[in-house]
Amino acid sequence: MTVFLPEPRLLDSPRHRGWPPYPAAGASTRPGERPAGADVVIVGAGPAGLAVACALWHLGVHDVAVLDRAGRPCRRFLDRIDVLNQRVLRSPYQHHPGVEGYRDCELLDFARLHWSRLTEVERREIRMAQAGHRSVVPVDVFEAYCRYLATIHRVYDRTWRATVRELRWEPDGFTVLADRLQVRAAFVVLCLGEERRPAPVIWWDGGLPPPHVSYWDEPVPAGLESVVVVGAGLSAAHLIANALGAGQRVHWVLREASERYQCSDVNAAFFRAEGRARFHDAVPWPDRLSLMRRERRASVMFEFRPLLQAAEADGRLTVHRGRAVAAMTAQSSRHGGGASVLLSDGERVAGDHIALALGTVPSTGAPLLPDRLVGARDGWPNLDERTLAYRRAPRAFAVGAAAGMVLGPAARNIDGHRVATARVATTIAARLADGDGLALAGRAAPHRAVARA
Amino acid sequence: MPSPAPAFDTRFTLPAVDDTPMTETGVILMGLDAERLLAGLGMATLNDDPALVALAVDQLRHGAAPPPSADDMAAAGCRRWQAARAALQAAGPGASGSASGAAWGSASGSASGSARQVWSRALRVVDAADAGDAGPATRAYLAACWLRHHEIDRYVLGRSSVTTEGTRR
Repeated sequence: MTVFLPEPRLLDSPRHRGWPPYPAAGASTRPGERPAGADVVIVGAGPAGLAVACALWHLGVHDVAVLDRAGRPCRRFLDRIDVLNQRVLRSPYQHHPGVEGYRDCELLDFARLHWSRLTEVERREIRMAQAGHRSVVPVDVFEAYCRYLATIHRVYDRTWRATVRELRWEPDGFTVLADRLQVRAAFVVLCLGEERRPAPVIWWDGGLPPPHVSYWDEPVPAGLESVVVVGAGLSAAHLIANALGAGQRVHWVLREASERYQCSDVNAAFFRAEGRARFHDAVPWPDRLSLMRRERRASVMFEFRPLLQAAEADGRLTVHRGRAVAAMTAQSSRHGGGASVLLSDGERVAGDHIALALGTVPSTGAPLLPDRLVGARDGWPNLDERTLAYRRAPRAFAVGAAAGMVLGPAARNIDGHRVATARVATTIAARLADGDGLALAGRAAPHRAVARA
Repeated sequence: MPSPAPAFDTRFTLPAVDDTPMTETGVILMGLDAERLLAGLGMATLNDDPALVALAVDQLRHGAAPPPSADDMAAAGCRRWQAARAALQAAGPGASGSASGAAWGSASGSASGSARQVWSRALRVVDAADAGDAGPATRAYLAACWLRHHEIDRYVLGRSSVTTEGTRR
């Protein structure tokens, strides 16, 4: 039997290398005016929002406004990745936000077309993908590809920086209320992603974390000697690897009984039809719920295993397995400063800083939509599995983690976005073709004219 | 007594990771349709990098770039193809005394079907031909068109007959 050993430099793909400017990247035809109306408003320009915008473009739906809190496609997604110093995605080359069936340049070919810019390790991963093996994608390649997709589908021209506060339901659509603008739309696609899971209230009585405690999506201060990492997933692994790389001593509080190393975020069967079928409407809700709880578990990319095992063996890393957390407090300078974790068995684990990586919570659509329209059950919105429309607000759709109880645990992954996008985009295009758009009154004529040019 | 040598060998290697960027791009170009190839050939004078030309053509086809259009570029590619066609024919396999005729197949006369080997043979035909001023991108697109010259010729002919028809009217 052959034991596969990952390339040790795989996790060190370069970031921010020079990519060529794509010819029309700067040639924005954006009108500069804020849109007053659009056939479709996409809320969130992450990989899911980008996939929806690209698919709608190919279906001839060009009157689209993308509202995003960062104002640029995939910005928050990449910022979070960069805070963690993550250099490769766990997703393989086959998973990307491009559009199938239209011969868009796919991610793998995009990477091959930039062959001279790739390292030998990255080129080998491409060969692995071509041979049908599991491979990982450099974040740098993924970012360049997203920029390319956004350029050729004119997503930059149609993206506005705005934090959406409310979707006001009306008979022929929605009024989308944001901090900087207000847009009428016949259809709204919510691509809200996931928010960090907050720490249990009992750890520090709720509210902001104590001093010297931060979450995974916040920068860890420099110049520390020791760090405590709480969590069991990939973000925890990155925090640990970064600390070890900086020569710090690390305590890993793993509330699970043991580490879980795994290639992909979820079992690969959930990327395929047979896995998604286990979340079909006909499957009883309790069964789906229990399957989701079982399968949506934290795990670490198996490429981290050699590093973490070696660090534990030589004492740089101490792993506290199967230990519940009772409390978390800042320590006075008399006690060495920093912060400490009180474990439920009474042991106290202290460090200069505590980094929490407790996972994420899918955004269900509330509070943008009122609870009665979201119709959440056990924290999951009530979606039509054929269209991913909210059953109680059928002009609103969800793409991303929120579709988990319809598409399974892979709904939160890039490949899940594509499956969801296909259903949503074809539904919207068909309904617009049937004349189900907004009445023309109140539309922003300049926006329509430019978007359709 | 030594065991007999196995009658098969299941080992295989993936294509080299140190192939030139031109080869990696070439294998992709080999799979594109005639219209894209000719649009690329038309754009090749504007950019030396065949990979960036492929992406630029993709962008034109999405209608996301300012003029010229993908169709304008395909028309320019047709003209470039027609200008080089005779020279490629003269340098290609079967041409008496051509420098690349022998390079088309092996010494025994058989030719490998490996995409990478086919690609490098096509590039040799382009290099051996007197195809006018040709930068790296033009070389790549001429090679890809040469590999599928029957299909490209048909496309160019069909396009010119449509144009002629339109002019007559």
